[in-house]
Amino acid sequence: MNKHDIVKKLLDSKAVDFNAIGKMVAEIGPALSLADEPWEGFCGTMRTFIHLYRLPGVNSPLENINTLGQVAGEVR
Amino acid sequence: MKYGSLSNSDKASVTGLENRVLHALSFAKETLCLLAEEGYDDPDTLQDKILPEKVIGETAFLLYAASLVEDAAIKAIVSETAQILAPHARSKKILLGICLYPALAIEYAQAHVFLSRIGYPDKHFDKMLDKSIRAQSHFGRERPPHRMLEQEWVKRVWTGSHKPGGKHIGDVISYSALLHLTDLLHGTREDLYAFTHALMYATCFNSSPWKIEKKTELILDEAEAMLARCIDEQDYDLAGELLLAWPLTGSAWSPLAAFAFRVLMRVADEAGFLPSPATRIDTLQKLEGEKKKKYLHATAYHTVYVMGLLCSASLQTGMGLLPNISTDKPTPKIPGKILEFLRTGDLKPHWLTDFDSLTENEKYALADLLINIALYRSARQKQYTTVFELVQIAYEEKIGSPALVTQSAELLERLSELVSV
Repeated sequence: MNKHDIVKKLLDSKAVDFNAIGKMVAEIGPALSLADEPWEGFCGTMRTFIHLYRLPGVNSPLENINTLGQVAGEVR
Repeated sequence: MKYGSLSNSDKASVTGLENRVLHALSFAKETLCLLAEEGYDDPDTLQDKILPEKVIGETAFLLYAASLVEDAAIKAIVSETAQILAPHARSKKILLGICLYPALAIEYAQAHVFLSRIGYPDKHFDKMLDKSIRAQSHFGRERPPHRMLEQEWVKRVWTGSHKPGGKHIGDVISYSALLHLTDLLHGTREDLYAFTHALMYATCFNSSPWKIEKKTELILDEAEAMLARCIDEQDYDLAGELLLAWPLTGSAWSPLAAFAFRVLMRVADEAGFLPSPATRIDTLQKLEGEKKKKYLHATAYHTVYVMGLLCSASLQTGMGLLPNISTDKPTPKIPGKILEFLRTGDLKPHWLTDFDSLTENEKYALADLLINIALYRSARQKQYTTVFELVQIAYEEKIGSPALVTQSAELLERLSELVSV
C-alpha cells in the first residue's frame, strides 16, 4: 500500500472532518497567522496529510518601472 | 531625503558606478533610520516581516564592500553610515544573542565584525564573540555548504587572516554549488542563491580569496546561463548577484555580462532604484508618510544593496568601465532565428528593449544570451521540439553556455529513453 492509497483510504473513511478543520482554522487562524512562531504543529497527527501553505508574492510580476519610479519618487 | 541622482550618471563609466555606490549608501542610511530599531512588520501590507538583525547585517556587508573602493566620497558616507549602524550592531540584544546562542554567534556578530574591519572596533564584543565561538555548542547547527562558507569567511574577516584555506575549507567548497553544476533548466531560485553566495564567500569578496578547484571559465559559463534566465525573468536581485561572478573572479566582462549590467543600470535609472517584485504600486499608493517610507525601504533595500555590492566590487577590481559589446565573428542568421522564438507571445522583458536599440554587430555578440534564454524558456514550457532545434543550432554554431546546452541535450536523451520505456 503506497502513500496515495493511505490518503485515499483515509478520505474514504471520512475520518478527516474537513468541515471541523475549516471551522477551527476560521476560529484560530487569524491569530496564529500573526504569531511570531510559524504555524506548523497545529495538529501533529495530521501533519503528513494536511498542509496549509502561504506563498507570498508568487507570480507577482515586476511592476511597470516608470510608474514605480513616479510613485516611489514621491517618498523622496 | 535624496539618494543621489542616478539619471545624471555616466552609465558605463567609473564615475557612473561611483554614483551608484553613493546612491546605495544613501539609501542604506535611511533604511537604518527606518528599520534598524524594530525591523518591518506592517499588517496593512502583504510584505513579510523583516527582522532588524537582517537589515543590520546586510547594511554592514554593504559598508564593508563599499569601504574597499578607493574613493573619498564613498569613504565619507561609509563612515557616516557606520556610525549610525554601530549602536544597532552592538546593542544589548545582539550581545545577548552572541552570549546565549554560540551556534548563531557569527550571525549575531556579523555587523560587529564588518564594522571592526572598516575601522570601528569594539573590544567588549570581540571578547564575547571569542568566548562564544570557543564554546562546545558553537558547531551545534548543521548548515548547507554555502552557509558553512559564510561562517568561515566572516571569521576570516574578523581575524584578518590571509592564510590558505586548508583541507577543511577545500572540502566545504567542494561540497558547495561552486563545484557541482547547478540544474540550469529546473533549478530553483534557492539553488541559484547557493551558487552566488558560495562564490561571494569563497572569494572572500576579493580579499584573500580561497582556492577554488574549478576553472574560472567554467564558473562563468554557469553564471552566464543563470544570468540569461534572471534577466529574462526580470529577477534583478539574483541577476545582480550573478554579475558579481566577473569582478569576484577578476575576469573581464563578457558581452553577455556587460549587456546584462547595462540592463540593470537602465532599469534602475528609470525606477530610481533597482526594483524587485516585492514593491507593489497599489500598496505604495495606499500608504502615507512614515508607513510609506518604511514599506518602500523594506521591499526595496535588498536589491538596492545588491546594486551597491556589484558596483563596489567592480570598482574595487578596476572593472568599472564596461566594454562595448561587439564581435568580429558576425553570425547574421542566428539571432534572427532565435529571436523569432523569443518574440512570440506577449512577453516583453526589459532586456528586449535594450537589445533592439543595439547595432547589428552588437546583437551578433549576444548570440549566447539569446540561445541561453530560448533554451531555458522552451525547456520550462516543455516545448521539447524547440529545445531539440536550439540544441542543434548551439552545437552547429558553437553558441550558448556549454553547461546549459549539455544539460538540454541530456534532458532530451532522458526523454527519448522515457518514450522507449
